[in-house]
Amino acid sequence: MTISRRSFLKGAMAGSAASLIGPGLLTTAAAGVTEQGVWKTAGSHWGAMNALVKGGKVAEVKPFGADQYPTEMLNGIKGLIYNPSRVRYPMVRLEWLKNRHNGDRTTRGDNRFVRLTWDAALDLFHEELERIQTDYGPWALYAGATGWRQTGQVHSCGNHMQRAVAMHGHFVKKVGDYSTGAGQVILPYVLGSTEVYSQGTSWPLILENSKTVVLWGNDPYKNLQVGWNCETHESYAYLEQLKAKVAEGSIRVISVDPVRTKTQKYLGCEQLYINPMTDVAFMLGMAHTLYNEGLYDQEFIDAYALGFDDFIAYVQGEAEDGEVKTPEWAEAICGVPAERIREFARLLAADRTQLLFGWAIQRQQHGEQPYWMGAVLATMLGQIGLPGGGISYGHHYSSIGVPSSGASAPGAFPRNVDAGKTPEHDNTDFQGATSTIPVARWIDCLLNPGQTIQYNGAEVTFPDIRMCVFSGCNPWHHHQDHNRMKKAFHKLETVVTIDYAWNATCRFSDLVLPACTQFERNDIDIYGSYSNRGVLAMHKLVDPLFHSRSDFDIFTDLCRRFGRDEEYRQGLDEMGWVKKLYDECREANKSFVPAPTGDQSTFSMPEFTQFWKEGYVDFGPGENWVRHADFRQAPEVNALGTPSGFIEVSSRKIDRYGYDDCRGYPTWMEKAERSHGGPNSDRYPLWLQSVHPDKRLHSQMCESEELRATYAVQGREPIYLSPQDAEQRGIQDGDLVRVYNDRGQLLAGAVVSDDFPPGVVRLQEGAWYGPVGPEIGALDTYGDPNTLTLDLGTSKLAQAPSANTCVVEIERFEGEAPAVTAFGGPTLVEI
Amino acid sequence: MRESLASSAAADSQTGGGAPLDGASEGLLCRWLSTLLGAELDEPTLARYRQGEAAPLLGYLCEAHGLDEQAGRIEAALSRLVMFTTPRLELAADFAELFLADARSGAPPYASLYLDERQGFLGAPAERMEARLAEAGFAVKREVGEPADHLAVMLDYLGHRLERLAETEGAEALALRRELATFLEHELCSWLPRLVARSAEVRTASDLYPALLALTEAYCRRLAERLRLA
Repeated sequence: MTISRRSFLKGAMAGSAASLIGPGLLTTAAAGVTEQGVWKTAGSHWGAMNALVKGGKVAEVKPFGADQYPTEMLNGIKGLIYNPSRVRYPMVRLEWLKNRHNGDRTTRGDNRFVRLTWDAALDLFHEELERIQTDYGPWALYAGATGWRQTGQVHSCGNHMQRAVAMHGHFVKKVGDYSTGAGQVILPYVLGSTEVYSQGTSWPLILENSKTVVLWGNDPYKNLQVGWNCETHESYAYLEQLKAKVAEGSIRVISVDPVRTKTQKYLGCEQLYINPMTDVAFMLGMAHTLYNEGLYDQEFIDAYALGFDDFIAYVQGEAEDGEVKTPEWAEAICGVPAERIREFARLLAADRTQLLFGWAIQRQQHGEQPYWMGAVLATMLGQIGLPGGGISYGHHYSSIGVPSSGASAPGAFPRNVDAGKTPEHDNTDFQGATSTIPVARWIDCLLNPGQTIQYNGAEVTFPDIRMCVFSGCNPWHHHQDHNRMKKAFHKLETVVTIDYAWNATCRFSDLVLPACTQFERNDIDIYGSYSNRGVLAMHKLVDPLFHSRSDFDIFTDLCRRFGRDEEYRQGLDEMGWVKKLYDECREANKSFVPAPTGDQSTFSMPEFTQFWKEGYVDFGPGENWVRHADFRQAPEVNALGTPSGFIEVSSRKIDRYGYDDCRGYPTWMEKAERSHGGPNSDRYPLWLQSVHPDKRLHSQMCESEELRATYAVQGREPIYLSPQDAEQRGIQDGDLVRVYNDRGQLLAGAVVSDDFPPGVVRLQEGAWYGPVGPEIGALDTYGDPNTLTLDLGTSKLAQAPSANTCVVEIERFEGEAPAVTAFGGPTLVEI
Repeated sequence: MRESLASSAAADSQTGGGAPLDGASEGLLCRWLSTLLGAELDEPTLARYRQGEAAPLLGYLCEAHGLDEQAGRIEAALSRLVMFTTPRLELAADFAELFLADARSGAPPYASLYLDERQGFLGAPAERMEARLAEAGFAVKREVGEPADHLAVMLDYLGHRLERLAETEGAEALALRRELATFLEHELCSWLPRLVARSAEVRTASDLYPALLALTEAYCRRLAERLRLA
């Protein structure tokens, strides 16, 4: 009986199975030969590298041979490629799929997604671009946000996104960036170029000529670990020499910083403590000393600068405010004893002094002022254009200061529509609104369409943006005040994100497309960043994981939907582009005649096939160079790019704008909030600095378990605080703490360190955002400082981010801690 | 379909199920589970499920393996789909929440995320599975785009091997049974309970996929026992 029933069931089951079993996932294959593995060349922001690929997997990563100072972050590369947070398939948010722009936008972030095929996903992307251009116009589409992409000149994701979207129609772009927003706007008025992204005086000349080096809010030993291109860390050899010179007493290095930095500890140098955000007051006190003690260089000012009289009148108390900027006046604000201010001014004037400014002090309200004031101090010292003197705003960044080889670098896949071509939708009517938003004001724009703001001498009216496209750019890491961002995202109809990891931007999107990592496609890049030391072959190590695709493929396929894929890729495939960029670079270097030798063989490059096989071309070391030496030598011939051609201590142009928060010369202005007795410090007495992280690149690699295990505290981002602040609050090292202000709250793990003075705490930017729930103000479970930071323009001039203007309070967290959701994927975040 | 070839069934010892293990039928079951766990249901297939076409499969699981509770949970989940206006989309979203989104949440169906200390993709379990596939003359289809330690791939492999078992006899069959039992114990039963536990924590609209995972886990455990007992 049983047997016959079983037989019956077996027969029925077989019939049922035949209709319900799919085609299967396996295919027959001949047994493969055991692979010994092959070493390939690759590169990243963290460093150029050699990788052993075995059995279709990256088995081992070693620093590139020429990199003598590799960062430990290379240990995170494998964890990044094989990370559980990889976006593996095209995904669409269910509510949006069902109802598109008519759906409930407040559910964006509730993150119930479904998978799509690539064809379906790209059809949706194209349909949305069509809808936005047809129903609204170019003013409704924002595809301007770009960021630290992955390295590689062919696949640079911002270029791909903007070229493809631009071939379809015009859109709103951005100007500026989050790193140097204030600096890059103010310095062209003062020194004639952005300075922040300019090559600086060569390190060998600094080491040879400087008697004093001032690190002003600058931590190069930490920040030089990453570079814009494939980094080879050449600056570290010079830092090592500087350390030796500090030890032998031939160079005095002083770190002006509230915190004992990693660089200070490495160099074994001095620290000059200053209250946060009070650098301008401190420098005004120094200017007062230099002027009244006759220590300034009047001849230099007469020959190379304009507007000194107006400025010095302000210092002397002869301006409207009537305040004399004595060291005593400064002391009350900056916390540096007046006599120390005088001594410091005298020291800098006594011999050759190189000022090396970091970027942190311009990422605050009125961030234009410390940079301008630094240039004025350097002008008063009269050493601009001398080896080992003057001022730099970039020696902590991408090998600036390492002598440049002078060779040409490979170009890039184009960002724009080809010359002579027009987009599918050639409507350029932005209806009176701007086509270019100051980058840090885009959330203001979403929240206040139609509003007009002042920006750099012009008026900017915000467009009514309905759709955003992001690619390899994570604004949910880099923009301030996430709770404000949540409100802004409720207004958007469509958000498309292309990325390789489920970061918060993906989780707040409607359509998420999986890009592969840079280790899954072929590319080419320079190594050595500003030194332009050589060209690197970025071999594809493994095929794109899961269903991810390269940016090149994704956007070629998008353009196919409006019949312009061939035009998009100019008839070339990936390797065709790699070769094209190499060949063009080779051609440019053939005709290059480096001064002074005229030796044309300096930059000879082999045929592409040889280069690709060998993995790199080295251009050799560069020549020493002094920033602004040409200007100093012949100011009329080599005039600066300022309106006058001279250093503008005061700017008539800025003065004419009539801004109350950026006047005609550098001034001290109180901040919206400030610790150490400043506004709001009675409620929130701790200054929160959100510095560049030590063990990741912004938010890139925060997902790496290997690296996070080396710094996280109870699985949370560390918050560093002083023993005094910890004791006052009953906080022990390793405790879970709640950090909060009126804008938000987060959990972090306490690290009590005497590197930090009372009133100063640090959360490194780039920590992934993971709120516990949908509500505005929800507790962030991991510790993203932008949950707390202030979303305020630096001034009407630059309208740049003011992330470092932020005060908070901390308390020991009691009770059951919620699980970290930052890396937990889309199902756990709601708004 | 392969009953005539199921000669190994005759060689099976009697088990708790009271019947010999039928490699061909078990192979079908594995490949059916693989299909369900490998991709979302499309509308026509979902319609077939809602019309009861899976009943014989579920019935066999009850009859041959005593998995009444687990099979009943599947049937209940299918019958409750009437609650949804767009059941296919809701199931697809459940599938995504469990299997497709950030693998730190949900119930990612990859052995490496449970058995490898690095807890990343393509860990040692994936390498072992690749080697196992290669040895058996298989590879994952390129268009599948999944590593070899995806549960659906492993079940598909198991299905093929069980069907092979149905074609073998004697010592070869015995060796293959032992090999498959070891495979089940080491490579599937070692992490499926954790997968099921994680699925229970995920907020899904329907119970279909959590129930399917529970069924798969119980089935693998049962199958390993019966292969071992043979």
